[in-house]
Amino acid sequence: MSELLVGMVITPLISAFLLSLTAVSHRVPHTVMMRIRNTFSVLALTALVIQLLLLAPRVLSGEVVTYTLGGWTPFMGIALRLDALSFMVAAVSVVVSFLGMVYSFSYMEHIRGLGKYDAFYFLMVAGIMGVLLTRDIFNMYVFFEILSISVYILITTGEKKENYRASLKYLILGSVSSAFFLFAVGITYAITGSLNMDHIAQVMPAIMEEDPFPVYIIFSLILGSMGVKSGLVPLHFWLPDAHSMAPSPVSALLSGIVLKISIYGLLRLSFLFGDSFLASDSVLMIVGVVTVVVGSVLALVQKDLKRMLAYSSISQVGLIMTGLGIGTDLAVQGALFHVVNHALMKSGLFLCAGVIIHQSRSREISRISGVSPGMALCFVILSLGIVGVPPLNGFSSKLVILYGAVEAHYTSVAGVIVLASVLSCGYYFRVVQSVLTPRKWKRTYNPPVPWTMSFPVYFLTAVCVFLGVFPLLGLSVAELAILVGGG
Amino acid sequence: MVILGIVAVLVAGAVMAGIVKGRKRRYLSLVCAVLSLAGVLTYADTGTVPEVYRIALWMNPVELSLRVDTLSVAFSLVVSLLFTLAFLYSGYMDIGRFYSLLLLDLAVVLLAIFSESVLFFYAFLEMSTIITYFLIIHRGTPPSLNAGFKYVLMNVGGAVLILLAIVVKGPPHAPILFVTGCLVKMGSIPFHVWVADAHPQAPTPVSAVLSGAMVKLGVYAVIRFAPVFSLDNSALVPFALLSMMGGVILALVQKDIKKILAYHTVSQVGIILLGIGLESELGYTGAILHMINHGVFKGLLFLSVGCVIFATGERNVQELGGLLSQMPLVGTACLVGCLSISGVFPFNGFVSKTLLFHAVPSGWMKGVLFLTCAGTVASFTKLFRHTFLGDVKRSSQPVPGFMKIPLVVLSGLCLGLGVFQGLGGYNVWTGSAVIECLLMIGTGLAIYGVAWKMKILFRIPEIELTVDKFYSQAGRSVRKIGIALDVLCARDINYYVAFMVVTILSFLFWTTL
Repeated sequence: MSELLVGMVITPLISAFLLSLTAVSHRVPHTVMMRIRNTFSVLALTALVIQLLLLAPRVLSGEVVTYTLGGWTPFMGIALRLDALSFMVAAVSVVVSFLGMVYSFSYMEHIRGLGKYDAFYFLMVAGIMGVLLTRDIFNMYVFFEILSISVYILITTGEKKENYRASLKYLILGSVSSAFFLFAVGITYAITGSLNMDHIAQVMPAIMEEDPFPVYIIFSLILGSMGVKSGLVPLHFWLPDAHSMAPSPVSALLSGIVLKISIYGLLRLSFLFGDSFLASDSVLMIVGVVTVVVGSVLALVQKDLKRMLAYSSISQVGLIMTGLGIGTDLAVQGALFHVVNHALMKSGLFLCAGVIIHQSRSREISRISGVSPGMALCFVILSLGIVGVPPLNGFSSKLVILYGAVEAHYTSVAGVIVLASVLSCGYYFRVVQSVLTPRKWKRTYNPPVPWTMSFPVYFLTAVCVFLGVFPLLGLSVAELAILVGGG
Repeated sequence: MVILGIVAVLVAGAVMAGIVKGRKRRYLSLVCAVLSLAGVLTYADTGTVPEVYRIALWMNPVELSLRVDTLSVAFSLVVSLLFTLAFLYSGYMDIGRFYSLLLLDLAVVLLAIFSESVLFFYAFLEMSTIITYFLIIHRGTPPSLNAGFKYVLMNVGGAVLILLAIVVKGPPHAPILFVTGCLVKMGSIPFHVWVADAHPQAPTPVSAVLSGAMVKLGVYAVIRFAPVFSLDNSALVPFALLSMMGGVILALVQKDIKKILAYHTVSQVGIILLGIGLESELGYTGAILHMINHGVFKGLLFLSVGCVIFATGERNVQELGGLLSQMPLVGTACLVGCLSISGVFPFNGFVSKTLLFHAVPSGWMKGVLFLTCAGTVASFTKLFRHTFLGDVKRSSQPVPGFMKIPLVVLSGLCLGLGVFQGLGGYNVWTGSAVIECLLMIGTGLAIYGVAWKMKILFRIPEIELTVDKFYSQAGRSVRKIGIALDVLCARDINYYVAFMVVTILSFLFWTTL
């Protein structure tokens, strides 16, 4: 059964390779090729879903599934591990990438003809699964690079000047941050003599006692590099460009999943330094609070719809980081639930924004027009979720984080979170207002929305409402993730 | 459990109203509203012992508990009556979204009224805020969108303060946060800016329920949950006095008829708040009674004024006149509303106002209350005189019958409640009360006469703009900060990398400290 762990990384990897073959010049008619490609992508992602479902009962009962590659001892070889924490993130990632792929069938139709898009999409999924499953920090670095490189390329698929500029910016900053990460891996190997997380965690207390300075260096480097990748505020400069310039399904994946993978990485690696290292000195919490405020204020002044969503992502990541930084069980539970919720809501919003931009033929918030009622409703529900209006999922996780903050006597932090909700109400209702304004220049012709584009949005909205009405579904998994995820 | 049935009916009705077409929608929603009214009526014989129902929700860490007692039943009766009449009245609106939203709003407001825990009250309050937003902007014109934006921003702001109070729970912060949140919700000065914008811009039936139900939810929250936060009610008195006087003064100088009514909501809410702030048995009774009475007569006023606007298409008082001969029924209904809100014998406003008048200790506080009542008389003299008396300035179209029925029902209630409350239990039909009432009317007419002579009746003062300006200035400064940050962020890539290194070094510095 635990062989499935390998399968979960290998499946997207092989799919990426096979799909890249379709880019080789051939004589198959375009439509046939398209169908082959679509069928294959759906099959590959279904395989991934099935593997996750097969492992679900074991993981959700609190068990930790591990597998050692090639039978080497974990000390020498590479170990894979799936526990509730990685399962939770993996499940959301697979669902969102599935929906993103379905959405791309029509959205990226002309570009997918080249085969590049599909190949790198699956490579990105492989990177995501790899980061989530590996127990080896160098391996984690490698998968992070696979993930980042495919993202750099996916951003350029719009093939406009701005796409390349945004991608280059991300490429340079992302590579520098990866270099920092590699540096941290190197130092860790030098002082502990191992790359396996379990071994590192074992020897770390002794090292901390002897000379904590190298550990502090490692921690700062990891925090810095993961901070860049997840868009913490003084390090967020690449994020609005990359997220707004990428094609909508890729933006959804970037904001919804890739940011969360970096948060997962930070959380996973912080366990190496002991249980409550993240919270021990409130660096992360303060950076998180700053991120929340700055992200919201910047989102307020954006004119471009997707750029506004990107800044809103920054602010929400700040909220998650605040929860992790507070460090009590309750706050971390809320933060983990918010990871799931934000992944669902924000990817839904980006997919919805794609449809809205498609229908109004403009990215500017003030020029949105001709949005179909269903899409408008989805946009309203999803944005209310981010604002944190009951009974949506964003409310439950925000409430748990608030309780966590107050319980840990950070009342002012709770105040800031609440203030950010009001600000987010401001920037989301600006869009809602624009969607509902009847336009004088409104065209009689509305571009049709194919079901492949509308279905993912409806599905994500339904999941958000469901998780909001039954919050314990998510909260109990988050609780389990804290219980077995540490260590 | 009847309440759950009501909610189920309303939600099903909301879904159906989105599906069916044309006139059926109106009948359907009317039936649902009447059913909910009937459902609430079954609780009418609730005794003094509150009944509490607990409902475990699947996959939820908290259970929903509903509390049925005299207060919640009385308030929910007024609310569901207002909604039912609003459905009857809104026959001229034919958009499915409107009916669905209004039905959902009724369901959510009823749940909020019956909630026992503050958390659920907050949840339903927030839902009703959002639904009401969509009702306010129903017309989709730029002014209504702006009013809606202000409404939703301020009310969500108020709601999150209540949420923060729930999370913080204990003194010293929680009571302050809770009260501030409630004050925003009820539109007390200095948080009244949204009231003056939202009421005039909303469709008339929505203004009626907004004033009768939504605004009152803030007051209801204070009455209901003050013990939970161990609230010192006397802290409300300054806000109450400010709203009372400020609301009346602002109403006296308005031209827009709906705006006049909106500012009177501010002032009447101040009177209710004063009753709560007095912390005496009599004050409490008067406040609760006035809360209910105000729902009735303010609903009547909004609906009758809505008929005027429907018939003439004009909202400026100066441009109206002589309508009494053209629509006698609407005029009479409006007169009943005016007399009732002015606290004239024997309408329902008289009873609650007299009770509150007796509850207030003598001295300047009584003087302020007296002046407020007199100002109300003056203001409604203005409204009635310039709308229904004098020369005919506008031609009008006939008002359909379904819009008149609610006026008759509510006028009857104003009188009926006045007689019923005056004779049963509250001994206010005394000679001295009637003399006080006459004195008040005299002063009010004098104020009107003086203001008319001084020509200050239709001049919108600077003060309103200043309070409004304060909020827009706050918004503008946030925007300015945002733009400054945005400019700050747009730099060369070398700068970013340098910044990264500095940040990591500062992390290191911080952790080693």
